[in-house]
Amino acid sequence: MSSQLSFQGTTGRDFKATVTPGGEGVWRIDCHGTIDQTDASTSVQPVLMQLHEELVQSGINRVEVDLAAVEYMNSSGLKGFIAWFLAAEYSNGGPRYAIELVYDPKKTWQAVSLTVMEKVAPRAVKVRAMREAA
Amino acid sequence: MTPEISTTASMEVHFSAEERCLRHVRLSIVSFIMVMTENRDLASRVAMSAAELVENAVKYATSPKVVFRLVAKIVDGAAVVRLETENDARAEMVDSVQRIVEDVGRGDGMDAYLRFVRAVPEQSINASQLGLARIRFEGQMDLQAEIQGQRVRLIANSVPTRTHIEAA
Repeated sequence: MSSQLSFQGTTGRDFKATVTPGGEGVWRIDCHGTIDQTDASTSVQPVLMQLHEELVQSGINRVEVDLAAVEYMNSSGLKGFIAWFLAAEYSNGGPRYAIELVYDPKKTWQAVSLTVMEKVAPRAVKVRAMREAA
Repeated sequence: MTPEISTTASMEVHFSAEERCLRHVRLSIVSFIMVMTENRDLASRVAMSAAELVENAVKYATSPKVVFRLVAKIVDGAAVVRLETENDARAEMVDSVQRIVEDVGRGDGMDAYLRFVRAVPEQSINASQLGLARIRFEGQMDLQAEIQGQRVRLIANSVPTRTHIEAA
């Protein structure tokens, strides 16, 4: 069963993430919208750290996070995601699950600021470009 | 000798320090730079940089007097963009902004960004220093801070960037 996370933006509940636990130890998180509040990390970071705890408890192998449909994310929103990636990399004695980030290479902010996350959390985070629709 | 082809466009916005201004600033700059340069990558980098600067100004302003300026110049097919924000700030922010800008300027852009990213767990949850490092790395802009009393001016200058890049 899917659950939905949403965060306030400057014009309302502008960012949504649908979390779908899947079979074979793989969860999927589909994100869309915009994060542009100045203090976005104060809402994003606690939710993602709670999610991290759930992922560790569930014993999954991998979570696929599709950010390709996210229109924009400010540095405060990114900070919330970075805190999660670093927690996955270093807490509990090392990565307990892998995070696969899917990004849209045509969006400059994603191609630049998401792809470097592999350098920040090299054991936990892998980044790949979205597949083009046929 | 071919004559130099030069175009300059600018905008200056005075606005109150309100969150609801942020998205409008970012989206209007995407349009502004696209119309001028037809370079979507440059428009994205400049708009992100402007949004981060304006966010800082809105977040730390102690008076409603926030100013944003953009000057874009194209000389022989290369665009150079200068962004500025001005706001009044608390004394402790005035003290720290110059130090943060100097720290962001150390090493190359990626080194600086990764340094700030790796420091995220040590920062308070609502600290925003990452934004200035992002301007240098993702925005490919150099930063300067000018302080006069409680008035803070942050300036970002882009490197010359070729215009009229078609989307991939």
